[in-house]
Amino acid sequence: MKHLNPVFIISLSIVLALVALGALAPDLLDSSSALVHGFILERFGFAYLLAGIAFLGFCLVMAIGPYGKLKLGADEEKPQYGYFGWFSMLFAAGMGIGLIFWGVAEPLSHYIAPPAYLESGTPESAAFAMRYSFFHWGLHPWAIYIVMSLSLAYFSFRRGMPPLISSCFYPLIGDHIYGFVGKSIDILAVFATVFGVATSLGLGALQIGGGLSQVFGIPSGMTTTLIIIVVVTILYLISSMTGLDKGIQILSRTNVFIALILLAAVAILGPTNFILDVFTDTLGAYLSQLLPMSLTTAPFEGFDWINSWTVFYWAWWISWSPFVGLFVAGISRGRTVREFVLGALLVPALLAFVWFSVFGGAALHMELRQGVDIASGAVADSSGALFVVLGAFPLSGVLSILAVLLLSVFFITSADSATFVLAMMTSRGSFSPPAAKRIGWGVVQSSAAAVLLLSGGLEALQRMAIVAALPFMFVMLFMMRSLLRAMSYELRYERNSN
Amino acid sequence: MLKTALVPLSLRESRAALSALARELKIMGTRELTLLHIASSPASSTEALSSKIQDRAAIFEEEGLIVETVLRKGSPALELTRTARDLGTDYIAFSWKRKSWLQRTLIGSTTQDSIRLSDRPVYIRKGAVRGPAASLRGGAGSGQAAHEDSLVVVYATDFGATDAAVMPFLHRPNIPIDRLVLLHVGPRAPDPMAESRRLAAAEANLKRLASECNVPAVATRNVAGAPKQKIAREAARLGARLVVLGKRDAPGRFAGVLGSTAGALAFQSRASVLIVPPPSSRRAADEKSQEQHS
Repeated sequence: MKHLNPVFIISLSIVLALVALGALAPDLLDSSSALVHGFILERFGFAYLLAGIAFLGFCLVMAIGPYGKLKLGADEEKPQYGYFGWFSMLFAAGMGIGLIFWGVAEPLSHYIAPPAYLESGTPESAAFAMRYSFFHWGLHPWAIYIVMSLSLAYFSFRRGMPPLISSCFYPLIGDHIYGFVGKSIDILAVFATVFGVATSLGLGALQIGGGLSQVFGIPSGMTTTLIIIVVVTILYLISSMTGLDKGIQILSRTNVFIALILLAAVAILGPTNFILDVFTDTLGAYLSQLLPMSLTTAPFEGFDWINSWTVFYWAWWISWSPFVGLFVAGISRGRTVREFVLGALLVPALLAFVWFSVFGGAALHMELRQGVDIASGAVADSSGALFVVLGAFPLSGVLSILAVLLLSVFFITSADSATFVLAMMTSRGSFSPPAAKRIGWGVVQSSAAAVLLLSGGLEALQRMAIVAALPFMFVMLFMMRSLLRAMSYELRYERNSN
Repeated sequence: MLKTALVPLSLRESRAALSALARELKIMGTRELTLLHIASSPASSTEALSSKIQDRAAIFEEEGLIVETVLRKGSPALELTRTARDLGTDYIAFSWKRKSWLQRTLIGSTTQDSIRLSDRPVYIRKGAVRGPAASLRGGAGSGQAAHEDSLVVVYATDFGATDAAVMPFLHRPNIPIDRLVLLHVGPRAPDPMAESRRLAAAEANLKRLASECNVPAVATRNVAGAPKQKIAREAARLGARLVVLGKRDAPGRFAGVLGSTAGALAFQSRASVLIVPPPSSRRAADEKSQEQHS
């Protein structure tokens, strides 16, 4: 019973209650979550955009300013993982399955359904589609993750506090982190993590099912999806039991390796020059439009498009940030703040740019140059879009198998790291959470995904994660303040006295 | 140390306020003062203004103070600090008139500008919090252990160079302090262990400072938080009738934009405030003044 702390009991109860509601009364969960979700996106859209640019600015200050020389650990500590292992795990935890899902579907969706002021299916909408895909998966998501992970790493490894989100607020609220305020923050983090990850797992299982259907002709129904969830759950629980050093690291490295092979194959077998042109052109447009895009709310043209994409993404990344933040903090011990921020900000963003250029570029090439209509299909069924594009390539069978393999391994690494992080958050920040707790959270996550897929409540669950992101946005803004105060204190008082 | 004062007059002060200020200046040990009015409008009649100033001077003379009057024209805060330097007065004493945030934003504040510009100590006499507490002596504050007629002084220290400038003022008989509370408000350390080290170091420093004071009763108080917000609140809690604060030569990077702790305290504190600049700024100002005269 010693592991049953309030954070564990309360968060598990809330999660189970909402999953039960989603299973028994999906319509009620759907309508209530839609109401709150719509209200938040409509009324707080501007706040998400402002917070997003503030997080990015904060990262730049951290990287360039005097805080950059501080180490996330003792001064003499060395990084635990090499660069390749570190980047692989960063990427697997932060983007992984989502990038595979949206790599083709998002550019095609923007191309076919851009904001009202752009004409659909034109070269302008194609350029817009690529630019916004870069924007949604580029620097901002990683800036959000960095705020969380940098704070956690600093307070845990450098200041010797437990790796809990509440620990990051000690400079602001002192011993209240052990009381109601601290516990509430930790419960909210567990809540956002379970729902965010369960949604991704549900969507990922659907996509794997779509891939298997495409490659092997296996009927993609609910039974197939449930079997996929069961098999993958067993695999990720095995991986989770081996800990960070073995399971997750090996899988993440394998994953990035498979991703690079798939990427290279599509780039070489596909319209190589077109892809390179798309990459170069979109990178330029992204960099030159970064600030306007970051603050565009389009009040005169209608806020709907920004609402359903940019604001949704920002909220989504924020809801994922407790999980990714804790995981990324755990693998970044021993790095300097500057190295950490620049590495975590630039490398995964660059990889996402390349991914979108290759897959989105190949899909748009088929649309614009070859006259193949894949966009409408991709909008109707986002999970199958990748396989539709791969189907048009030479060696499509091999590429599709690689994609299914990649999806499965990303599924495992996301769930694996989420399980580890959840167990850690509900074990007072222990880096060796009890095995029973890891298995427990793994089963809860997968069951939530499966039950809600069956009942049709998965989208409602996703909306609940977005709802949890609103208070978390404010938590993160205060977190920046707290981290700045702590680092300033260290530089001003402790370093000077040394 | 506070023998001569320069008192700026807007000529809108009530007789009661000036009378209360005169009594308090005497308590602070002041014997001579110069009343200064700075006319902002060139069209103002010199005779009429001089007559009004003379009328106010009588109030101070009634308290046994030696009074001189000066009339100048120009920017109030600049002229005020320049006059203090030229006359060599020990400090500048304001009779406080409350201004709202909006008034301060739109019209500005001579007091705040003077705090920023002055190389002399600036004393701001606040109105009474309760009934008879219109002067330094008399009337307890809202806090504990403040006797009706005792002068409770809070000195907010950051253990920096300001201690050297402020501590001489805290010796009797310079200011007839009955009870002195040495208050330290510092930012909380990033973790509990560092925080306990910080608290221990602050306690040791407070004890050291306390041992240097020759005041009948000395207490210490150690608080975590932002000085700008906490000093005034703690002073009220401690029942202070006077809050003393040292001003830094080089305030923080953002002080120009966000305002200094001294400037904020002048408005937030319910007790009177004495802000003491570092001795180096006074030395530099005196040298500059001598050069100009020679």
